[in-house]
Amino acid sequence: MIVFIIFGSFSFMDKMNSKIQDHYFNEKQDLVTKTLSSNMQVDSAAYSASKSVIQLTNSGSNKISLEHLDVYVDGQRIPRSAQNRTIDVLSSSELANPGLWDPQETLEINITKSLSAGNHRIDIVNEYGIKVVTKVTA
Amino acid sequence: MGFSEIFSTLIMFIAVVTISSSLIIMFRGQVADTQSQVIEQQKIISNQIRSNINIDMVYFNNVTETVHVFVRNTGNIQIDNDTLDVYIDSMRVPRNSSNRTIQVLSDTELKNTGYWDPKEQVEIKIFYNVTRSESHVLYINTEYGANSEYEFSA
Repeated sequence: MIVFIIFGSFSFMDKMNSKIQDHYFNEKQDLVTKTLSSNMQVDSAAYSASKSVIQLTNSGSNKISLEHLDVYVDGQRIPRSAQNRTIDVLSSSELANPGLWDPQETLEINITKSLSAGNHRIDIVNEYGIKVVTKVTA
Repeated sequence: MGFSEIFSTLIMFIAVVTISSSLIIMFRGQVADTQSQVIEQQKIISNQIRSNINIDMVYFNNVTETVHVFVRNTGNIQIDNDTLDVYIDSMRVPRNSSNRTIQVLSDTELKNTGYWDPKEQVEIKIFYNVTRSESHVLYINTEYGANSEYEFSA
């Protein structure tokens, strides 16, 4: 009887642990799925009057959060403030959910930073760590 | 069945219950210990599953001879900055402020100011003069084993 009680306790604990770990595995799987299905594509990049303007399409299959997008110019991070950069979904490309960057919609990023003459690298990274790289010529 | 048989059966029953109870009390402590260790182990595994980071960018400043690393918490749990380990070309950067500093970027803070929560970014500054015109590998490892690697050149 003692053996059954002890065995029963361990089986119960094991079942509970499996359930909890399954939950976390599912959470991880969901994150991995979102990461794999996230993608961006640069449509155009140009520099003029101390501003770089980049247009990108959400070429993945899920929404991308605008507030977690980060921009780097020649490796230097551009702070997330309206004085340094603005990010907007082009209204002409809106398909659903105004203001959110849905799949197949186009985003425009304006970076206020004076650049020296020559080529400059621009990296854009989203919340899942997915990155696109482009260049502008000043 | 005679009274004596009933009586002896009853005595045996009481003896079995008494012995069982004593054994349960004896083993309860060990079961509780084992249970708490299993729970602890399960926490560790859960944290490992939920933890993930991504190096967004590495930039070397020639003037200040500082490597700037921008890392994003792409997992689902908070990561402790103090236990981050950084390696450049497999050489470990010691965990002290004269070799490196780690700060959560204020414009990425969502909650718990100063703590590296999910979706937030840290900037790691490494005071190390890397060899110019060569590629280098930067590797970061966290307390739960989540890691990320980035190749850069100065």
